[in-house]
Amino acid sequence: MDKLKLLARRLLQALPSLAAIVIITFLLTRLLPGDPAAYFAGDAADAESIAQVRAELGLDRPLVVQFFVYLGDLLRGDLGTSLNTGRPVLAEIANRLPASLELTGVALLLALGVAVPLGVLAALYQDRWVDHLCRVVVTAGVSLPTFFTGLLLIYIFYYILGWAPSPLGRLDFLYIPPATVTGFYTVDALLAGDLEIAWAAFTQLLLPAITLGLFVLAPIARMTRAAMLAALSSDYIRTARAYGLHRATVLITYAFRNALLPVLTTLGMVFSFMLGANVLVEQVFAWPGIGSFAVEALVASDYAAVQGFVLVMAILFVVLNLMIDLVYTLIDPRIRVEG
Amino acid sequence: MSRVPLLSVRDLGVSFRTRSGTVRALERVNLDVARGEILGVVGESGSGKSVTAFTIMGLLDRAGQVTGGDIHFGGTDMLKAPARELQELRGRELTMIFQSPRTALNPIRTVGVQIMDVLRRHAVVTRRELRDKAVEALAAVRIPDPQARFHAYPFQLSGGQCQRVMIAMALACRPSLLIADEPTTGLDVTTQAVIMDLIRDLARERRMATVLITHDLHLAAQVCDRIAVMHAGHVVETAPTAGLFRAARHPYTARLIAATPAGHGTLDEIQSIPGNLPDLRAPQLPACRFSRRCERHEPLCDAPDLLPETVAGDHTVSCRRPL
Amino acid sequence: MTTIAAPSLTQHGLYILRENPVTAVAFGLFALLVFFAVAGPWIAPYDPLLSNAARILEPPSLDHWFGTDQLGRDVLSRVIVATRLDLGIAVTAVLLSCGVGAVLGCLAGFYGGWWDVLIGRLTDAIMAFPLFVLAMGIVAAAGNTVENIVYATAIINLPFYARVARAEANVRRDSGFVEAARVSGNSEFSLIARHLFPNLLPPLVVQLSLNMGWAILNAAGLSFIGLGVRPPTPEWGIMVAEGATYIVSGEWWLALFPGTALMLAVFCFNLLGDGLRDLIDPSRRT
Repeated sequence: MDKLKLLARRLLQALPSLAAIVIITFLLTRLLPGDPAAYFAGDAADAESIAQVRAELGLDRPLVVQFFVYLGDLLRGDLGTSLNTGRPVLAEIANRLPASLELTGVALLLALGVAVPLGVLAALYQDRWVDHLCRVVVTAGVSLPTFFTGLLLIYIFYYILGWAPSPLGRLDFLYIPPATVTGFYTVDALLAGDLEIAWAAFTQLLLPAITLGLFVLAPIARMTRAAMLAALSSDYIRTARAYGLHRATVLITYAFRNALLPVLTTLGMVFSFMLGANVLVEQVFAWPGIGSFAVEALVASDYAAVQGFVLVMAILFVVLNLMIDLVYTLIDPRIRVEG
Repeated sequence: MSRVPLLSVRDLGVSFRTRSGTVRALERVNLDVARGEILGVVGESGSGKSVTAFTIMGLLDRAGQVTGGDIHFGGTDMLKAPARELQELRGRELTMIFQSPRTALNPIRTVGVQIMDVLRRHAVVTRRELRDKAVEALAAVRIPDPQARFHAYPFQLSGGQCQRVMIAMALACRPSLLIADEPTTGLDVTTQAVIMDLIRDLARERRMATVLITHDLHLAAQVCDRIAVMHAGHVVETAPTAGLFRAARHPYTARLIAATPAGHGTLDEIQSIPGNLPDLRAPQLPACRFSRRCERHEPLCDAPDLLPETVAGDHTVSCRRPL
Repeated sequence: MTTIAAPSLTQHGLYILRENPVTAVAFGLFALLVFFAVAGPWIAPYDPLLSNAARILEPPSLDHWFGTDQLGRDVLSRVIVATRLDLGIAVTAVLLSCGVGAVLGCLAGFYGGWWDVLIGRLTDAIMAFPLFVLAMGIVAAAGNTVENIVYATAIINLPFYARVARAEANVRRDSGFVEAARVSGNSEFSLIARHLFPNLLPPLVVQLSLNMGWAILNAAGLSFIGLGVRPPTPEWGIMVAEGATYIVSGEWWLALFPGTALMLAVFCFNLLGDGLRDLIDPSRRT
């Protein structure tokens, strides 16, 4: 029962962020230079359709009224209609979201899988080659533009080495996408028992996931190293050693678990970077996710679609931060008990 | 009187490599403790008391190295034994408790589980027995309601309770030597007394050899059988407690006693000790590191190779001109 | 009895440079970048906008060190000239961000109360978004121009400076000299100006240099996806974007050189930031 109360409290704490997001996205759709109706009607619209849009969206009513209409629309899932496709924005985004989630998820796993051990080893073997490698990775990592890394990887691994498949999306056009269960091609193909398609989807996923992962490798490795160093020099480690505990126990159960906490907090910032870098990576690899959807919308001045994208990304960000918060609360007894 | 020491430190020297030079932290340190005996190691901050303790335990910092001497515990040569053997001994035969007990405990692990960690490491017991023994350990340190406290986290306990938990962890496997490094500093006066009583009682009960490190001479006087006085990395005087206070032979010890409020004197009667500890990085340190602060200093005091001399029974002094 | 004089800032600075060859390299690179930004148009070997249909997509040669692009334009010249725009956008955005952020932070930290709540809500609102995405939204709403890229980048960096300024102002709000100044009858504004701001500068400058690299990446990212800068203006971001289509067919030089320039610029500012931080406040190292 206590845990439920804690969860509820954390959810409530996320409300101000959600409120801020709704208000700001609303302002972005209304405080436009010139006539908002013209934006929503599109470049090719004539005076008549603009007037129609203005009436439809209630853009001639007072701002406060507009806000509540907007809120109402949001709660009903109405994010407007895409100019490009004519379909509801929410449907378009929902359609493209799994691709982005699959990409980001795999990228995060790759990044964690490399950065955390690297940080731990760099802390354990300070000033040895691992530590220097870590330092180089961190310094280089924060300087590399994601889109540039992606292009370099394509050039090396596709053009020169021929190891990677053609960077043209989730699946080579030879293959038919598997039946949708989760929307993640790799998972769905495995569920359907089709190993060939699963592998094809996976190899298409690799290069963009590595690019995105490389981008966030640096902050995670840096924080892991710092957190591990701090943990290792703590008094309780000295105590553990004083009582002859095995090295593995000291390093893993005592040091690493404590070091995880600040690393977890860093993930919040990491997600902020990742959701932004997602757009760039999808652009480079022609990945049909919401990032490239947003870029297409920008190019076509599909205004409702762009703002829908910003809103969804922001809500996703809040949800991710909430999840980090919840995991942290479950791990750190100091917060769990005192709330 | 023959007393077979359980722990014997002979001629121990320790140096630290630092960016500003080599610090000769300990020089020719001699200490011994027998079973059932409580030895006090007393001195100002920076006198090398903790360094000695860490060296005995094999917990010396990376930058530190033993430059000479030996440490024998039971039958083991602590400086030559392989790391694995030392790891086996620590927690099982010799243990240490630290200052600031709250930070010395793992903040995200319950105190009961931390005690179990020590038991699991050294004792051959089943899982159910582990838990029971951990609760027993908590009861032995007189924590009220040990069953409930088992599930507590360090942040939920007071300073005194944290120190009890640490003592429980240290003594869980019934070691034969306990080193207590300033165990009551930082606790309020009432709690200090209670914790010191606990340590003394447990030491007597279990016939443990105990080394009590403290800067509080008064505290040492109340609890210890023998006292070793340290100054700037040297042991300047070692004697049974009564003898030390009745007839201190080293000028530093005398000044230390005069500087300690004894509860019956007035503040006027407390005299501070002039000067500061010498800089242990200096290339040329005098043979007697107290000489620059000593009013009895004479050229004779600078003669090299100052060794401890027995002046009576169990009483040794390192001084060219003892009182 | 001699007193050892504390080293002056220049002496300390030279010491840091000598001890840290990497920081010295960063300084050199910084000087080079500034030089290109200032003198770019004059030292570029070719006109960056001049297309030459006869010599398109030529790999690097003695004539064209960085090769030519799909319109026959000299890539080297374009990369050099682009320095002004890329650095200009980032520097302007960061200075704007720092200025406004510092003022807001000071108000929040110094006066507390409603100011603190309001400004806190504002920074929280900005931080509730993934920052690059917010920048996209702002540029889309405000219009696709270079000025708006600057404003968007400035807005998303605002919280960092506001936080630093607020923290410093909070600390100094109750310290003695403010009370003393108040008692001696100085106006509140002169108090802030004369006592708070000089103490604010060191942490703000550190934050500024650490932030600059990220601002450059942000601006380049926005132009990579087609926001702000339009062809044929030379800018590293859109040059990489244009070069992207050619890299799959092996013409690597179109994207590689502007991308490397971008990387070096960001790298340089990150190192400078680290160096400045070591100079001013080493306790903040990670």
